[in-house]
Amino acid sequence: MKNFLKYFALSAIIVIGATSCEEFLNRPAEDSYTTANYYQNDVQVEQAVNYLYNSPWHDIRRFYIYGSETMCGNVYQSNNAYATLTVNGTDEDLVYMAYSLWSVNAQCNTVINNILNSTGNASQAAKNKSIGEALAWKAMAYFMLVRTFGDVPIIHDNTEVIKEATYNEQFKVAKEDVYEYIIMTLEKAMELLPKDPYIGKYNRIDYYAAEGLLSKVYLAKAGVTGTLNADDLKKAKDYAKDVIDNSGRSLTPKYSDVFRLQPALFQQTGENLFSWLWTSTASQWTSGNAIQSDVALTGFSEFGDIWGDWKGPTIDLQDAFGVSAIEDPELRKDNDDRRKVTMMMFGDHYDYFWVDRGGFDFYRFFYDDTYYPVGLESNGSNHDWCCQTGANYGKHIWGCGADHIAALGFNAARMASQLPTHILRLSDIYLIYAEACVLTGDSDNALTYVNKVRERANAKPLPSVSFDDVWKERRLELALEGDRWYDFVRRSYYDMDACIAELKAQRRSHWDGINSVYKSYVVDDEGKYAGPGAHKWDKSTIVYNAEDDLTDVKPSMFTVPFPTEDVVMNQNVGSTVDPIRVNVRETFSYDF
Amino acid sequence: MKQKLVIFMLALLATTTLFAQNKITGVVSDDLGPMSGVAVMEKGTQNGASTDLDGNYAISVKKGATLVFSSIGYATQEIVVGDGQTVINVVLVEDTEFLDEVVVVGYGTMKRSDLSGASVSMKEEDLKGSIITSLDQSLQGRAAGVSAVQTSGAPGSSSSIRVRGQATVNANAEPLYVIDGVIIQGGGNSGADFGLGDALGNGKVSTISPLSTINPADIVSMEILKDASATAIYGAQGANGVVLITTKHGKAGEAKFSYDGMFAVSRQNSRIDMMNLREYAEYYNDMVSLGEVSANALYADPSILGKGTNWQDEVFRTALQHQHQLSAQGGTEKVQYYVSGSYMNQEGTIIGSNFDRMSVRTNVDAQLKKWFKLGVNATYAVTHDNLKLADGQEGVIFYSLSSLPDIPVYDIDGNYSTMVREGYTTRNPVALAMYNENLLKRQKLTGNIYAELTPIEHFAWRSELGFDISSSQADTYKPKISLGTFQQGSNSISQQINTSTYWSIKNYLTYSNTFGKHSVTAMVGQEAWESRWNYLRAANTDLPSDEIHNLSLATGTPTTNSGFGSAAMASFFTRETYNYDNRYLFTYTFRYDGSSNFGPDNRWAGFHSLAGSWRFSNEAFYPASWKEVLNDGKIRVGWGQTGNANIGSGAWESGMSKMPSALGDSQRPANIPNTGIHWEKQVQTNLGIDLSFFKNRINLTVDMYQKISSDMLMTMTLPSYMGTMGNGSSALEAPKGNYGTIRNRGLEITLDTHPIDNKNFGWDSNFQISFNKNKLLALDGTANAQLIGYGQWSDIVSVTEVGESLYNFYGYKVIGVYKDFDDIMNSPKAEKFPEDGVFNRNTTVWPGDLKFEDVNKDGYINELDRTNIGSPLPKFTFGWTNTFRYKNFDLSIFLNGSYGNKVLNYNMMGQGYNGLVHMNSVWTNQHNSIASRARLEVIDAGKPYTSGTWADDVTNVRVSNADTKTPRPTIADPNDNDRLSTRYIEDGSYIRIKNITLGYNLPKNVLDKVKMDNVRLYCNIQNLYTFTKYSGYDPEVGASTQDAKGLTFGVDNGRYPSPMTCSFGLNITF
Repeated sequence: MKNFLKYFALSAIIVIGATSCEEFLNRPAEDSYTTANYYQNDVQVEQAVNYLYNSPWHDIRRFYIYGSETMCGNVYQSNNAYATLTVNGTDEDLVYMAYSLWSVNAQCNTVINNILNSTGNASQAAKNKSIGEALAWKAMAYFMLVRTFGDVPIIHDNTEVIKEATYNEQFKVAKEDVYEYIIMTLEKAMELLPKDPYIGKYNRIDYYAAEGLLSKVYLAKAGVTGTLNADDLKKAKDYAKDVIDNSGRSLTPKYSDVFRLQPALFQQTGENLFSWLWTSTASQWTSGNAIQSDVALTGFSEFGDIWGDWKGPTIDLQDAFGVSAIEDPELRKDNDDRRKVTMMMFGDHYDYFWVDRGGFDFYRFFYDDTYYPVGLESNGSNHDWCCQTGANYGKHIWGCGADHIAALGFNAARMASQLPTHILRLSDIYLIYAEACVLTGDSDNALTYVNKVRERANAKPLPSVSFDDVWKERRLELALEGDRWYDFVRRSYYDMDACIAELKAQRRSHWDGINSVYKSYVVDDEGKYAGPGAHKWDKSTIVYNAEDDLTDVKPSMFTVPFPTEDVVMNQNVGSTVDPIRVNVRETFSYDF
Repeated sequence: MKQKLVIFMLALLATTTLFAQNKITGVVSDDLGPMSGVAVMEKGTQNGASTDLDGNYAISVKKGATLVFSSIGYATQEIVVGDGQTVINVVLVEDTEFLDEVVVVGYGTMKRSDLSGASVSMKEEDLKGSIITSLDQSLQGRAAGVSAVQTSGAPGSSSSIRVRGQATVNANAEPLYVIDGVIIQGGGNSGADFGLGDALGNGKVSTISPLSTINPADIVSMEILKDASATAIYGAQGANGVVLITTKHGKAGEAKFSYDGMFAVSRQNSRIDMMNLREYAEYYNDMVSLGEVSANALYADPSILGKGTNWQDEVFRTALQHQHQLSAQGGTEKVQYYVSGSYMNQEGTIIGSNFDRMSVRTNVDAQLKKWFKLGVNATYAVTHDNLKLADGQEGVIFYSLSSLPDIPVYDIDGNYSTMVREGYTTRNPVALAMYNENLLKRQKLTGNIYAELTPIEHFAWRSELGFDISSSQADTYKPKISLGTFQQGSNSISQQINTSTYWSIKNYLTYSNTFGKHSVTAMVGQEAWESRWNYLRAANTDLPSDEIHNLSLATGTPTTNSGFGSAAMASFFTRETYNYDNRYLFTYTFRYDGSSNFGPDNRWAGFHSLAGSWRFSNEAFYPASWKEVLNDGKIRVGWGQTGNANIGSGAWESGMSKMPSALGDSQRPANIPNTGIHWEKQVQTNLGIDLSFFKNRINLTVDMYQKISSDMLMTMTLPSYMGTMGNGSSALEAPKGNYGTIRNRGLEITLDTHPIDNKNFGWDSNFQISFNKNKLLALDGTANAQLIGYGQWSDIVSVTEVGESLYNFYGYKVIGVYKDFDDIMNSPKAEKFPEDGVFNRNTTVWPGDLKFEDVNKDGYINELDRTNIGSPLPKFTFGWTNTFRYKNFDLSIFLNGSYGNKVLNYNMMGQGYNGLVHMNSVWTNQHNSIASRARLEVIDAGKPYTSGTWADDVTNVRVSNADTKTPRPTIADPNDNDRLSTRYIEDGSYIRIKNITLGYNLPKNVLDKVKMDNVRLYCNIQNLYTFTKYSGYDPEVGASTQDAKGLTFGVDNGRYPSPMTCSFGLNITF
């Protein structure tokens, strides 16, 4: 009995000890939610997709905003692999672009699964809306992937691929099938997304935003087999028209308002269908817009985060707008509001930048020692004109801290502003419609919508419209918005020769001698800034240096290489391995 | 004189006392002074006495008796009492023959002769004399099987310690450090963990050492447990080896005070051979002649130019260091104490960096009852680091190499000058070092309270409460800067405070007994610990001025961050040892561990080990005559399991991170969970032999081992299309799990000899050499075929394939340059080979471009031709210490070295336009080795051209120095000559004169006069010279501080070089 008691006591201690040990060791996350206790109600289900509008897109910015814009001939950079169309698979901007797009796909897949598996009280409507938004973003990511890399693997469910350990056995899927996958994804998104537009606050993706994207996908897909497919063109046209007619959205009356900080301006008519909605109010890296740092003038803001003045719009793009950087700026005449919004040129004055100083004056920026934002002691440019094409970015920039505060009531931070980046706009849909019309012989409707776009920009309406007119109009309307290279890519599917010829004909190189002419125009003999006319405008010393023009464009240059680190892990994605064909709708599905 | 007289009288008295027993008196002392508690026995009898507090003893013995003096840790002395002798003073010598030394083994102590496992001791003497700021530095070259590589030469910086090779790919492959039974909490390992953002680079490993908060002068010994039978008692925490550290404890007796003081001067002796202004101008003009850049009048005549700015001289300085320690120890039979206080201040050899430490320690042991002992060990330390971003492509070192010599440090107004060239600003490295402030203050209170109960014979119960209360405060301040495109338009400030509390409780019961020739010990115990941490961070901008760095003065929008969490572990363990007649020894240990890092189903794991040894020299058949030669011999065999749980908490669930957007708050899934994640297991077998020759004059220890780590914990490396790559703030983190198997095999030899040991002259020599080979055996449960390591950001520099050794560099093999057009046409096709046959020196391959080996023989040079181009791991490392003693002088010379390891000289390669041998920009300085660059010359000078020159005609240009392996200079670099290739891989083998110490102890008669027990003066030179072929500062390059995944080794990316240091020191004991 005594022994029994002893053993009983001993085993009791062990059992109690063991259970308390389990409690002692059970330590789930203490300071954050987990996927198991989040997604519990409508608010959380909506918040769960908010970050898909900014963070995972953050690291595509350099490729998107100046890598691809350099390739297509809109932006000049000297000694640059994008300029020569020879970027390789270790290029950092390229690698981060891939990281970013695939990250969007993985995040969307994961969030969709998490919402589907959640057990809280969230309504079906809330779940549908969030899943629909995630699907739309996923489609956007794949749309960029297929136009950038051509054939790419389809990762439908990351968890599944990891579970089956097939991630290093993935093959690239032929781009025709990738397009089909994007279409399938958007169709599901449209099924789930609400149709009622968010009147007065067009900030989230709705049915019509997804439909707009679908029309663009069909237009791109139309030529993928090498000849234009009439069915695809018709779908592009029909979907675009539905958005135009029924979405309740319209063009923002003033072109420059689209690119401003204030929601009251850029959201006023719902022109923006897909936008990256950055925020500057928290210190979390990847949540804010960092693009200004790469494209604005050093010293443009006081955050010390800008190094973009050596790249700028090409002479070729200036030609397209009908302006020249070597003509007397006092005599410059714009045909079109979009020129000044797109690019800053010598002599331009902007009332929406540096508002606290009465606007930004591009005569003074480089040549007036006393001219820099409050809080900065110089502009760091060595007082010389930097970009040898005579123009700098006008889009994607928002100004200095005072501008941010004036527009929104709070400041930006280092490499983080609140400026949204629009990646699908209604004017694009108008032009998609116009292009699909032109290509199917309906030039009347095409003319109407091209001219609506021109009218908003205060450009003269065209009397008639051809494919080339729509092609050029797209460039002017969407310049520096990361879209032009993809126009070349989709056109190269069925008309490679025209694309090569156009790229070779571009004036992609730079002027020599531009700085001294600019300087003497505004600086007097004492070396002080004296305003335009300090000396006579004399452009005779400026010459075009053709060294950066393209002489050698090959069809292979219209797809950029896969990151080589992926090839290290999986040789199936190597440049010489053929893609596989997949029956998309049988292999993948969204059955929920 | 009076004393002598008394002794004389006493002696006289003694000799006259016939037939009586002789009464002997005397004093027993050691080199520190009188010793209490020394047993004095009359040999062969039960007659004995012990010394009092002043070391006095008195004993009556028979005539002609032999007195035996013994004390633990000291060599026993026997003295025959001479006729009429009544006073015998004895000086006991510490036991240099380790055989019966008591060593710490974890949860107890053992006699060294009873050990069956492989472990190495380092004693105070090994630490003394060399300048050690952080105690991990002292492990270098001192212990076979332990490799210690300093990650940086910054003051107070860390070393990467690997016990018997790299056995896991976790960033934390460092051994477990246990001080007086308390596990040291490493805290954060990266700069970001402390709140320094990327001010120290983005790597998993930073140069901040958790051990630099510990004062090495308080340490009496370190025991490094190497094989599994030794480490298994630490079970799940022992896989990377265990370092047990014992601090000094008081000895009974009158108080003794010691002062240790040291003053040192450090400097960087070597410079990298960068171009001076004249050399640079010549290079520039060569670029002009090739049509790569336009002429610049400034460089037109190099001969009239000076040498320009030597940026390396500008960022390095002669740095001072001093340290002082005062300690007191003593006590009674029942209570002993040791207290110390120390201060150290060390400047870094890069301007602006420095480190200081203040520490106090109190160790008290009290025998409260005969059966009850209580003790407290506690230490408190405060350190201040003034850190600089030395490493990486944005660090001071790299900018000091790449900055052009034609820019002065200061402009005419005395401000830092800078130059913008085509938008590229080389940040003035002096400004970079001096402007931004990164301060780290750490505080640590650590120690334990223990009780030892021995109420029943043979049983001992020990309970211990350990604690570690740490905090760190990281302050950064960035002033306004306007240096070209390097601008900080508003000042900014941040502060992060981390606190952590760790407590552990352990109880263990030890039984030990001897039955005739059998002696056994058995120990069972329990341990549990919990660690809680939290942090609070605040940052703001726009302070009114740069003078006062207080967050609350800032006028911008403040941001705050905070977080908290905890981890815990519970364990049960046992150890049994059996010793038969000091001939056969067996040890068995078992530990059962549970960790909060894993999910409910996988928390617990058990670890066994078994070891045996045979002391053949104690066998009856072992001829006594052989003992003259081989006096002691032991063979050891061990096998054991250990584990590793170092993967961080939460891998088994999917956490959410906050990610704000313009649509409002948002939460994103942070990682892909792996509910099945469990313990990493390691199995190690060890075969060792210990031999002592000629009465321990020569001691040889040889160990062979194999250890296999399986279920290795790591983060899956997935291709980018899985969406887990890229910025940690936006990408899903790939799942962590048990994927790899690594095998390490090695051989360790230690030869410890005492060739000369005379009264006046002695020579001790200790040589140790370690061979280790590792191999990635498998990556199971993952289709990953390799582990990938990164250089600065996203560039792959190392790839470990299954079946290969870890961290091989990965790139192209250079076989030469294309000599001319024919060579291009007849070689495997280069990547930029124009299919249309139109060559262009800016967009296609060109004569003078590097010719890479077509490894896969497919006729094309492309990404598939990358291969293993060298291993950063040495074939062997060694250390050799020679200590000479002549009268009161001693001299110690310590050499160490490494053979067969390759170093990736990342400075040369750089990123983009930055590399030091790129020759693709004229806006960064170049290394003089590009003098061997491919020189292009015209073949037919008479050929006429309507546009361009011969330099644009691929058929009319050839390389004049055709056997060079350095490419042509080219701004466009279409062939990507700067890609990672054998061009940047260098031999990192070296032999280093690591340490020379010359010491002088004041002679006894002088000491007596000044009433001192000991006075020692010494001087020391550290890192005097390194014999190496490596072209960078220092071939000793450890784990990379720039790789965010922590999977690279041996990449010299602007590593802060280790300086040469000369020091002068003084130790006084009284």
